Amino acid sequence: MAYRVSSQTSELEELIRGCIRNERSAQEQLYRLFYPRMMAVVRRYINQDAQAEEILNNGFLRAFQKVRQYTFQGSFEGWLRKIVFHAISDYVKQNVRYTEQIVLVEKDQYIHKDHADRLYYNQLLELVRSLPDATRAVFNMYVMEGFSHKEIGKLLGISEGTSKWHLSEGRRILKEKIEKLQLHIKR
Amino acid sequence: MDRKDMIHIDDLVRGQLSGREEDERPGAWLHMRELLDKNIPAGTPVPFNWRRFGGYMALLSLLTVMVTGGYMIMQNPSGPGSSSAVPGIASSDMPVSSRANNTPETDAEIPTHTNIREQAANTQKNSDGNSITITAASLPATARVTVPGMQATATVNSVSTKPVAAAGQQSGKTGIPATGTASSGNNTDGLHKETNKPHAALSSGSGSNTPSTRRAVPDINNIATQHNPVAAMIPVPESLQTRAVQQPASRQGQQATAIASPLRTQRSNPMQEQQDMTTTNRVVNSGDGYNTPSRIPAATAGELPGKHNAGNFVTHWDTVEKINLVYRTVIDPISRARTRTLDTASVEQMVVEKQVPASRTFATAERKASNSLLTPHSNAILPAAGIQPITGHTEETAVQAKHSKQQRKGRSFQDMFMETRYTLSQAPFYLGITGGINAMSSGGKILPGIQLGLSGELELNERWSVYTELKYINRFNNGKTIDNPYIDKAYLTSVGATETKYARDSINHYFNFSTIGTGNLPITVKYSVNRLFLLAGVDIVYHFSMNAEEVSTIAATGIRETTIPAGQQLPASWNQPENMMQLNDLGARLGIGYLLGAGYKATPNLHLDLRLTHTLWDNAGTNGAKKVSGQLFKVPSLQFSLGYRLGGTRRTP
Repeated sequence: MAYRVSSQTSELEELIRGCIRNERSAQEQLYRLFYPRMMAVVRRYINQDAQAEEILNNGFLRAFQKVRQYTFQGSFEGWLRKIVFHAISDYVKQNVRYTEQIVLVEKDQYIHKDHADRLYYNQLLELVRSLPDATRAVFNMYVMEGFSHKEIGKLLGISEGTSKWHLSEGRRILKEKIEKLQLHIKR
Repeated sequence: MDRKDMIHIDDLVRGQLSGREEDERPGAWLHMRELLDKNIPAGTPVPFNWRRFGGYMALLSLLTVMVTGGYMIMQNPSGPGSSSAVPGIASSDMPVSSRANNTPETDAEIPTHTNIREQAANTQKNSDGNSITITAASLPATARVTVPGMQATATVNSVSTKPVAAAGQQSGKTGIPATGTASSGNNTDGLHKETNKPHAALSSGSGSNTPSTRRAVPDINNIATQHNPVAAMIPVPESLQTRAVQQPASRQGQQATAIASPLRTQRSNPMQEQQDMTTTNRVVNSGDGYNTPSRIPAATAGELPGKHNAGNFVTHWDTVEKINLVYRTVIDPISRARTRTLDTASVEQMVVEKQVPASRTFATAERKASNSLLTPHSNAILPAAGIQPITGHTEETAVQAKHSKQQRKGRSFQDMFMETRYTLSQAPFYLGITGGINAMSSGGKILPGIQLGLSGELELNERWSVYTELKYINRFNNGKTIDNPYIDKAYLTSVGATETKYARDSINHYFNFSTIGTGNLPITVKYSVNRLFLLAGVDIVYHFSMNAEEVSTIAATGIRETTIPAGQQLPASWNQPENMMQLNDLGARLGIGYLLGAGYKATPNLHLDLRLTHTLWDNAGTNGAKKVSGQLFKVPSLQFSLGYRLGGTRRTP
């Protein structure tokens, strides 16, 4: 097994080196290798499929252009994810309008485990994607990427208070929708 | 509601959505490829690494400097420490006067007439840096050196020699053998007998107020004179004139006689340059009681006015022995061939400066007083062969020797640098054109080609030169292909209880090409013997990207089946395609190799040569590119060239 892991690692390195040499075959293999995981990231932010793919391709293009800067230290997937995320945040920053909101207290939202267990991946993903654009972006960045409100504020050009408001709003909407969905399922 | 049955909405979303993957949409890669083609076109050659190229160039420059420097060191037989000072005007033959001892500051502290004159001579040297050379051809049979109130006659017996005399001395009278120019601050009767030996170092004319100087003259058949136009213009004080006149009458009949006449100096033939690797104007005699001070009166030799009494210490001046070698470089005006010969050698004393306790000053002064001008035997004309180490060195002498050694070491490096710079500045550079044919052998095929370019030659002397070319080589393909057979399409043929079989197809994969273009920059050292010459050096090559056609066919060997016994696992790479060359692997690359050759100069400007080049290393990055290099570029090549030298230009320093 260890041999296989090291083999895969060396294969990935070969692919990266091929990308450095601007070899299409290596670029294609790398693209196909990381497409599913990177697209999952993009889809959490972008509703439309075509738009999501365009943003993902822009992220890959940046990665191929900057692949020389990868030092082969640390996870390549993490490096690639960061580049793709910047492509997402650039899009979001340009296309999503935020209204300045101030929230003084963050309200935690809990749901019952029974409701959570009955949720499928696609259902939850659809619920997240149905959030308003600005709220969805902040919610994803806070929950999925682990950014702080300060970092989100810097990335999206909004204040920390606005970020907190969007997060709180996202949680509230999601809870309502999940509960409504469960009621609908029970019927 | 119990919190245990509840889950935070963040945790729910994070747990459900993280680690998920999306299926690839059809055509996603095609869109990506379009984007790549638009922004990063495929087939872009391997980007040129300017940083690495700069490194190579720096290394090459260093190599060239080392070769040239090594050559210059080999050409400089004097070695470290041998370049030393020639008292008086002899030092003015240095192209550049940069000796620490010649600083006006130092000279100003020696308030003697001689010093003033020499300072003026130094000023002249510093101002124009030109050599003053006396050649035998240009020197009159009898050259009169005149300082008001004195005169010296120098007779040159042989026109084949090129004596150079020391000048600017108080006596104005020197004796220089025809076999060589010599100058010394130490003239004694005891040693001048040997002065007629060829190349023997002997001297006169510095610090020569003593009768001993004149007694040395009769033994010298060839007498040169002093040649310093600036020194000649400086009047000699009355007292010194008187002293010159007061020489014993018995010496008047000797070969070098004191006659009043203007000092005549002659500039050298521009084609004849004399390089004097020695200089100093601070020549006084030893403080060890052996020699008479030549410029500093004995009474003050131990302590110079205005240069002492720093507390309990005083400045002590003393001397150490030096051998001065004077080389002459003669450039033939027609062929511009340069010949360099050892011209003269001389012995002198060099002054060193040292702080000594005041309590020892008296003893030192006393010792020096014994070397007064009245002590005739204290000045010596020292033949080079007759140099004897001074015995009985005190602790001071050892320190002085160390000091002197350090001084000489620093000076010799400076000398070497200056001389190298001077020589390089004088070396003519010839631009030319070159062209010819070449052939390269690869895999049993001969690839013929042609080359054309420019050449440059920096001629260090008639034997050695640095020869370089910048040319383009075009080689024509003669049925050669770049082969890269590989195995593809692996699949399992049977999986049984006892064995597993898998098969792979063999593919004949190769590249066709028509030409190979290469830029060459050979940098070589050229050694010429009469009309023949040898070349050796490095060859920097830049192979341009090849225009090739990729061909793949199923090999005649067809499917190859491999059997794996039960219990063994299939190799991890059994179904992985082997590394195969790609078109990108035929991209441009930089290489370095060696060059060896020999040639013949049909005329001074036309030459033929045959050379062998072999690239040893290139910057091929991928395995495929390395295979291409191994098949095509890292192979020996023969070149036959015809070169024509367009003309020479003398480089300015």
